Amino acid sequence: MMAKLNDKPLLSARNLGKHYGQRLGCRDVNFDLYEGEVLAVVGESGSGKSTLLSLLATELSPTAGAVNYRMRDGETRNLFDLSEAERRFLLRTDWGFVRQDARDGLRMGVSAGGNVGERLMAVGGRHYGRIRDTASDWLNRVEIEPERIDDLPKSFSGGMRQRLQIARNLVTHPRLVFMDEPTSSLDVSVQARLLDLIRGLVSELGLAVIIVTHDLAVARLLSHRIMVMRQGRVIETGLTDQVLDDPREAYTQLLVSSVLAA
Amino acid sequence: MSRSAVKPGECVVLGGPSGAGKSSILKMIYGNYRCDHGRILVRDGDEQVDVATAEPRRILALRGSVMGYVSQFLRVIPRVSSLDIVAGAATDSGVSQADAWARAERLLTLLNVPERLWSLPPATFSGGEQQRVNIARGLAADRPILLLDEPTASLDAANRAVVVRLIEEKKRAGAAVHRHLP
Ligand SMILES: Nc1ncnc2c1ncn2[C@@H]1O[C@H](COP(=O)(O)OP(=O)(O)OP(=O)(O)O)[C@@H](O)[C@H]1O
Ligand SMILES: [Mg+2]
Repeated sequence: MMAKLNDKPLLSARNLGKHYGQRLGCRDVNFDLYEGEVLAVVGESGSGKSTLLSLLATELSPTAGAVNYRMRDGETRNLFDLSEAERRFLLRTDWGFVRQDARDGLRMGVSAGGNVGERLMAVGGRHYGRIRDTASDWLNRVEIEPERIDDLPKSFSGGMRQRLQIARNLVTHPRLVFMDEPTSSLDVSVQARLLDLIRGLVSELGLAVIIVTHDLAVARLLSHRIMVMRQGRVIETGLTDQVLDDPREAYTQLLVSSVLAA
Repeated sequence: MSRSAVKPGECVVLGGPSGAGKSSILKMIYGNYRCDHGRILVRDGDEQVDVATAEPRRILALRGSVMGYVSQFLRVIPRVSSLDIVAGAATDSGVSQADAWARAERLLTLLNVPERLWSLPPATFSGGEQQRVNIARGLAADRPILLLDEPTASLDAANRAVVVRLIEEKKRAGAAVHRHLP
């Protein structure tokens, strides 16, 4: 999993901030993310987690700071200086985004196979038979029976929809995947299976992941590092087990102690 | 407080009453607990790394190739078989896939984990079986430093003897072993 130590970050946030008019979304966010690293962003409701994720994924424009990203050609660019076409290309090929609500991450009127195949076509796949085979292979990898390939996601359970979202996002072999509370809409037993699947794929594909979660057990299971946010700022960061087992900030101690056996 | 050093092939035992901070010291060495004063220098090839101030990424790299930690309890991951847990620990430290399997099978056999359990995740195992899987996992990896927190607590005499023998084997292979006994 862990790579060469002298390589360059994949993504660096520098003094990143967002105000919605007068209201603070987040501010002064600084961190580096390297290939293969999983970073969990935790904190109470309204602390700015989703705002930060939207900034990083360039869905929002910042009111301060920059996000530098190492493109596939090795060049590092500020994401907010990219053209619309370059940005869309990143979103379609180099990145994935797994949403809390599958309805936001899937096309509900398109078959399961279509949801996966669409991403492949976006990166230039043309051969129908091959696209279908790859889609079927990915359904299998996320434990959806390939016979369901022509079914609409409407007919899927919550857990299956999330797994389909994962297949749709990973089929193009992205380098970076954003996840916003990917398991929180699911029952506990379904959550465990999904988490386990995510964990396996992330380490197998060496993905960099930024995952927003309010569930410290999820952070513990998936992430290498944690960032704790409060009132729009990052108040503590470190190795996941260090932050959870030996939190420094009083607020983090509170967060950790209010969850049993995270 | 004081200075202490461990060389390759040495085994240091931290003794003392409950609450004296033995586990905390191991956890500080492993980077699990923070260190407010002082330094913890770990040699990684030609480099000396101070765990007390190292970047999270650096500590993760040390855990990958330099130091292993065996806690008292297995943190069970759902749906991963015992054999995969043990073999996976070996491959994580750089052992080849084929060697990792052979090693995992040998360790599980020596530690008297019945073969019919190997393909199952340890979630449903007895406490002792889980602990033995946990020890097998800790010993499967090839790392120059091995941190053991009460490795034999609640094992029966036969299994305890096996663990002691396996630790001896590790020392001969050049691992520095730091362990804490009740
Ligand atoms: N579009 C918006 N317009 C105005 N204010 C917003 C907007 N989106 C978020 N905010 C505000 O920014 C702050 C951070 O919100 P954000 O959604 O980032 O929180 P969060 O940490 O993701 O919370 P949750 O855990 O509830 O999802 C909140 O005070 C929120 O009210
Ligand atoms: Mg949110």
